[in-house]
Amino acid sequence: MKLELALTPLENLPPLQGAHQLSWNYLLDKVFADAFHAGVGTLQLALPSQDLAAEVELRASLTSARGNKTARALLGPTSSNNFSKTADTVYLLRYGLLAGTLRQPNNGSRVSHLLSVFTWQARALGLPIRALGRSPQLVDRASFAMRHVFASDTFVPAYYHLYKADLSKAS
Amino acid sequence: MNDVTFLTSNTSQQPLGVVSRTQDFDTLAQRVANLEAWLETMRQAGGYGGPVAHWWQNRFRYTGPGLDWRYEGILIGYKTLFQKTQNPHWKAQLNRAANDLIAGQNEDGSYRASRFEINPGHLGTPHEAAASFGLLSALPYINDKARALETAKRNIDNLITLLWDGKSFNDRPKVSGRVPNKLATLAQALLTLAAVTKDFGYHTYAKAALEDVLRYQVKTGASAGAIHQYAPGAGKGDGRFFPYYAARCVPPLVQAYETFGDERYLKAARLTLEFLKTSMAKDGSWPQIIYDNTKQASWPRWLAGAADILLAYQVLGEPIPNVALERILASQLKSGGFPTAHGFGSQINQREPKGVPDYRDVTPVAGWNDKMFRLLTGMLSDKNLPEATVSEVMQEMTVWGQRAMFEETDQLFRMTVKKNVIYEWHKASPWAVVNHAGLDVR
Repeated sequence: MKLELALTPLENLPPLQGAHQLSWNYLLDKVFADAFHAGVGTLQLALPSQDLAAEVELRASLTSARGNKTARALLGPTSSNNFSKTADTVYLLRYGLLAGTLRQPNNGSRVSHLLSVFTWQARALGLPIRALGRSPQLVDRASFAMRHVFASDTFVPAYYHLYKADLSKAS
Repeated sequence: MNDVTFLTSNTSQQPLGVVSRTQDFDTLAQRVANLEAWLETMRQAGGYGGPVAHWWQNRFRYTGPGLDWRYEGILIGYKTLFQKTQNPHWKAQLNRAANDLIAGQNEDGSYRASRFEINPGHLGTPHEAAASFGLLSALPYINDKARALETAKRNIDNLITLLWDGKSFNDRPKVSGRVPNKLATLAQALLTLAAVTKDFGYHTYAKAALEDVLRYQVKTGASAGAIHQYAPGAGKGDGRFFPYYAARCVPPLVQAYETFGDERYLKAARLTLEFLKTSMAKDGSWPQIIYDNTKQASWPRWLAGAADILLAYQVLGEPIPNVALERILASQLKSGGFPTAHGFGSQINQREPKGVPDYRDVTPVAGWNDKMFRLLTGMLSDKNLPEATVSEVMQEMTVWGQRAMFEETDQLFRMTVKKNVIYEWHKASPWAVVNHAGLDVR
């Protein structure tokens, strides 16, 4: 898959470690998988961190183009002249402590919600894990319980929300 | 109990012959033929793909090639098949697999998508070392030996550059910590590279890695022979003992003994085997973790992957417990692949699993089946394999408590709930369609 990359570092982006690193794995995998199955040949990607560039380039190299559509993934800041042509599909990321309070798009909207990642439920389950440090078997079990609710394909309170807009449906 | 006895070579892990009381050669050959046919269906552009279920994480959405430890068993398995039968087809299969690694090497020497259960990503440990060990082991039968050797050497040199901290190897660059079983795999790759290149400077690194394996082995008490999983800051071990990972230390320790003649390595390997013997359940399975407070994470228990535990018996010339071998063989799917485990659904609550298996149990994974491929090819006679007799799989399973069906053909994996497709992976595709969040639990 051909990749057009626009990199604009964001200073307030959480360090790409632990739960946030896992979150970005979810987000990037979802974007590339969805684009692959939608017949995307060119992915225009706005990224908020240089540290993600290698992850994105790897996924692009592993993902063959199944068509000639263009998709744009706004995972970081961008301006309209970053990319060479218009996109058929746009992926949009909202993140931060307040992202979980945003409302789900209405039915019938061109925008659909794809993924909630690093859910508040997972954060809540993760809090006591350090306190369990003396009991490794409980740490292991709590970690898997946390992982189970880490992401959701429904709209639930979470640090990251991924949306998709199908512009080919625009009137 | 009938056990399977091997006559082992005194210089390598490959047995010279096998005496089996319960598995006749023809039956075993049929199983290997079916497994090899299944492996063939898992190929796509760039290598062997498919979802991954593992204790640490899972990857069901990314299904592209993984240049990880699956290449250890695949390359050694094809090498063994060719050595035994002299059938050029197996040499061709071996060379194709070797070319996956050669073509998939990054500029810095790492392999593309080498992190198995956290793919896609590079610098997977112990995966890159295991893949390079596979490449070096198969070297005599690789057409372009110079290029294959250069690939393995660049890979191992990169691991040294990024993970060596002056005393031993970290698990991640600039993060101090030791993972003994991974150090053992890396040591085996280093020993093999030194033997091939005659550059015995690699021995210094191998010895340092092996010293950590010895250092983190429990010497006495109820867990004698067990090996700590992790030592943060290269300090005290974490008190997590995985029988599976302990077993993976045995072949490198035996090779280290054969290389240096240092009895400590052989003693450590034998003590590890004692731990494996005492931790085996009556049904021939092993718990996932034994903690140093004597508690256990009993589930899941490996099926295909347990072949590496049986390999530990093999390389020490001890009889493989038949109950353990039969347990795995009985699980082989009609597709020829072996399922991953039993009891994944109990990973969180650790209650005895009952009834229908979990989706991660049922799913056959290339990076577990390579271990069975390596083990079983070592048990064959020198007769050619028969034609594979494989067919489609339809099996009931659960996805986080919800009843579902698993279907496998030579073209796809599909999971359905009441005719609704919740998962579909076409085997040529690097990404699966996942319509159920439970199937993307990492």
